[in-house]
Amino acid sequence: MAIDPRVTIITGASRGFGAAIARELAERGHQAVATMRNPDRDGAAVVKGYEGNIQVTRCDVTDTSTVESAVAFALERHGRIDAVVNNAGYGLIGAIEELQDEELHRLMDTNVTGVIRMVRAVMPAMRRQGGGKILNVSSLAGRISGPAFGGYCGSKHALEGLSEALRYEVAPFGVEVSLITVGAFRTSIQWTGNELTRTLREGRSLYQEPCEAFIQGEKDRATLLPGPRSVAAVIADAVEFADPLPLRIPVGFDTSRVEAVRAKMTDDEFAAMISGMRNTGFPGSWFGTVERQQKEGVL
Amino acid sequence: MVNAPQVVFVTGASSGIGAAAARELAARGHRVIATMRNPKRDGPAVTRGYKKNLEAVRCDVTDRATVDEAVAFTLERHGRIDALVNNAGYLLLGTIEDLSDDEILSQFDTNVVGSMRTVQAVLPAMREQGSGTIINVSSAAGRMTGPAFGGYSATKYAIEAVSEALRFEVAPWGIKVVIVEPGTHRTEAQFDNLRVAQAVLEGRSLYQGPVEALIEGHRRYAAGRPGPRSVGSIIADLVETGDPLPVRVPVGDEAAQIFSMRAAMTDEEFETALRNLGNEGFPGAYFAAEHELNTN
Amino acid sequence: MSVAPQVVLITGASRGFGAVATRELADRGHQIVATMRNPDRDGPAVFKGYEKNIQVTQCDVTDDATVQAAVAAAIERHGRIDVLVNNAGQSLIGAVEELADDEFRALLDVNLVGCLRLIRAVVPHMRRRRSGKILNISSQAGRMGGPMVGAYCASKFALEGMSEALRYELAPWDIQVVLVQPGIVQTDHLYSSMILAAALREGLSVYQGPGEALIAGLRKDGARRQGPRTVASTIADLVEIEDPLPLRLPVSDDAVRNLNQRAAMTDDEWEARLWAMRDEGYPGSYFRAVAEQASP
Repeated sequence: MAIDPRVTIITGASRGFGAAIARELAERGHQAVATMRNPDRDGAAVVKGYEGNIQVTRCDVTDTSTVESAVAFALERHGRIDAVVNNAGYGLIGAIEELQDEELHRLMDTNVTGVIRMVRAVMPAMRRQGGGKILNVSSLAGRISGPAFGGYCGSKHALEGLSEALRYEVAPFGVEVSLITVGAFRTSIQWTGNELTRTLREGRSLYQEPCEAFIQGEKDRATLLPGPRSVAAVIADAVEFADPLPLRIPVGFDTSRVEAVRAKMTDDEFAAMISGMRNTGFPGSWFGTVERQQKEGVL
Repeated sequence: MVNAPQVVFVTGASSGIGAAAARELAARGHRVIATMRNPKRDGPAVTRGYKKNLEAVRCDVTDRATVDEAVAFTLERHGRIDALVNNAGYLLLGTIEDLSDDEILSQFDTNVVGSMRTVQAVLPAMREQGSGTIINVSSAAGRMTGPAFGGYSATKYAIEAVSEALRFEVAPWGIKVVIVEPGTHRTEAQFDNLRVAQAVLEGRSLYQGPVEALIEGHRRYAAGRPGPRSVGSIIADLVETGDPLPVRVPVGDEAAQIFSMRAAMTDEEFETALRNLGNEGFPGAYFAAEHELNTN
Repeated sequence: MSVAPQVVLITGASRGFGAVATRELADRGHQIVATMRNPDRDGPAVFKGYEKNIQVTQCDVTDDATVQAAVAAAIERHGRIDVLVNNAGQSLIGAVEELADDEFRALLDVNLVGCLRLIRAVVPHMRRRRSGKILNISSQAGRMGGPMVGAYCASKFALEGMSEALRYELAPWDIQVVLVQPGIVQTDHLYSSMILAAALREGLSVYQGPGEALIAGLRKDGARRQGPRTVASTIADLVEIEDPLPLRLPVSDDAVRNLNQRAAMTDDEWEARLWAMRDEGYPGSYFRAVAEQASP
C-alpha cells in the first residue's frame, strides 16, 4: 500500500503552487528538488520542517545553463528523476493592442520556452530510465481567453498545444505528459505575480479603467478563493499514480464546470455569455466598466 | 471570509476521506468536529497534532439520537456550524441478485438516510445563521455503475438526487449544497472496510468467479491509486470558497474522465466503452472472468 | 455582401494563401496592399494583370519599422484600411525536445508577435472609423497538437488564445477579429518554405525516422488535397461579408472534419484515434513509423 519515494523537480517553487507542491510531496515522503531563482532569499521558508525531503537549488527557467545544472544536481543527489513539475510562470495584464514585442517575448520565454528547456534537460535521463512524468501546470486560461489577459492566455494556450505534441513524441519512451488545468485559486499571482504592461503601469492605457477594474476584481475575488493546497495535492497524486495519466487533469471547484460549459456551447454562445457577465471579478468587471464608459462616451 | 476559521462537522471521520478532510481543515486553522462511531478507538490517530481545533466526537449516522447529540455538542462548543461534510458511508460489492434485503437496506441506511439525518440535524442552525455549506461526498459511482457495483451505485445515485433537490430547497436561506465525486482512492473503504455480499463470502454466488476476480482486481487497482489527501484538500477548498458552488465537483483524473465521457457519449456508447475498457480493476476484471459464468 | 470596394492589407502576400487571396480579392474589385519581404523579387508575379488593384509594399513582420511604414503607406494611399489579413507565417518541423531556444523564438516572432505588430499599427485607424476586420490566419493546428509540429501548434494555439481576448477588447469599436483555420494545403510551406529544426535537418534527431515519415506524409496529404484557392476564396468572402463574423472558421475538408471530431471527442478518444492511424498522410505516417521502430 505504501508508495515508493519519488524524485520530483519543481520549477518556480519559491512560493504559491510550486512551494505547496514541494511541501505536499515531502509530507508524503517523496524527495522534492525545489528550484527557484533566488534560493538564498526564498529557500529556507520552503524547506522548513522537511529538511530530509526537500532540496533547494537555483534555476531560472529562462537560463538554459541553470536548468541543466538543476537537473544535474537532482541526478547527482538521487540518481534519477521520476517527475518534473513545470510550474514556473507569471501573468501579464494589459490589452493586446498595447503589448510590446519584448513584453510578449519575455512572457513566452518563461511560460513556454522555459518548459521546453526543462524538457530538453530531463529527457535524456528519463529516456535512460525508461520512463518519467512531465506535469505542466496550465490553467483555464489555456482553454478560454478573456480581455486584459490575452498575452497570458496566449502563453497558456501555447503550452497546451506544445504539451499535446510532446505527449505523442515521448510516449514511446515511457514518458507521460499531462496538463494540470488549474481553475480559480488564491495565490500570490493575484497580488504580486502579475506584471502589468508598461502602458498600463504608466497610467496611459486606452483601456486603463477596464484593466484596473479587472485587477481590483481579481484581488477582491481572490479573498473568496481557496489557497494552493489542493492543487498541490492533486499534482502529488499525479506524481504517485501507477495508472496512465490523461492529457488534462482539472483541479479547482469551477474547472470542470467551465470546461463542460465551453464544450457544450458554440464560440458565439460562449462569447455572448462571457460578454454578458457583470460580476465584480473576472471578466464581469471588465465588461461592466466598458459598458459604463461607452455610456459616458469615453470609449 | 476564508480567513475566518469555519466550524465544520465531518461524518465518517475515523479514516479515509473523512479523516483526510478533517485533518486538512484543521491544518488550515478551522474548527473541526470529526465524528465517528468509536472515537475512543479511532479518535487519537485522527486528532494527533491538532488538539486545539480538531475534536473526535461520537456519532453513528444510522442512530438519530447520536446525530442530534453530536450536533448539539458542536453548537454548544462553537455556537455555530458553517459546514457539514457528509462523508460516512461504505462500499459493498455484490451482484443485484445476490444482495439480501438486509444488505441493501443497511447500506442505504448509512449512505443515504444517514446523510439526510445529518442534514436535518444541522439545518436549523444554518437557517438561523443565514448561511452554511453542505458538502455531500458522492463518488464517480454516483455517475456510472457496473457489475457488482449496483447496490453501492444505487446509494450514490440517490445522494446525487437528494443533493440536487436540497439545493433548491435551502437556497432561500443562503445555504449552499455541493456534491463531491471522488474516483477510486487508496483508502480503507477499498480494503479493511470493503464489504462483500454474504453469498460471495460463503462461496455460493452464481457469479462467484467474476465477482472474486473483480474484488481482487479492484483492490490491486486501488493500491496503485493516490491516497485521500487531495480529496480532503478539495473538500477544504469548498468549505473556504466564497463563490457560489457548482452542483458537482469531480475529484481527480478518474472522475474527470468519467465526467467528460458521460457528457460526450450516449448511454449506449458509454456502456460499450466500459465493456471494452479491458482494465485490471473495475469493471475490466469482471468482464475478463465472465466466461466462468455457467450460462447453460 | 458589401459591393463597395474594401481596402485590405495582407501580409505574406508573396506566396501561398497570401498571393492567391490577393489576386482573388483584386478580381473581385477590392484594393489590396500586398506586403512581402522582397517586393522586387516576388511582387510582379502577384500584381501582374491587377496593377490598379494591388499595391505591393515592402514589409517584414519581424521588423516594426517596416510594419509601420507599410500601414502608413496604405493609409496615405487609400485613407483607410478596412481589413487586415495577418497571413505571414512560418512552419517549423521538429520534436519539442530538440527545439533550440532561438528556433522557437524566431517562429513566435513571425507567427505570433508578427500579428501583434500589425494589430498595434492598424487598430488606431480602425478605432477612429469605428469599424474594421482583423483576419488572423491560424490553422487546424491551433486546436490540436501533433508530433513534430509542437512549436508550430504552440504558436497557433497562442494566436487563438490572443485573438479570443482581442475580440472582446475591440468589440466596443465594432472591430471584428476572426481566426481562419485551414487544414493541410498544398503550398510552399510543404516544400521550399518548410523549415526543419536543426537536429532533424542534420540527421541527428532521436526522432529522425518518424520525423522524415511525417514530412513525407504532409506532402502526400498536400498533393491529394486542394490547393490554396479554397482558403483564399474564404478569406475574400470574409472581407465582403457584412454579417457579424464568427470567432473561428475552419476551411478545407480535413480541417472541418478534424475540428468537428476533436470537439465531439474526449481527449482520450481523440488520442486513441491518432495512435491507431496508419495512413500515409499526416499524422498516420508518423505513428506507423513509431510502431515499426518499436516492433523488433
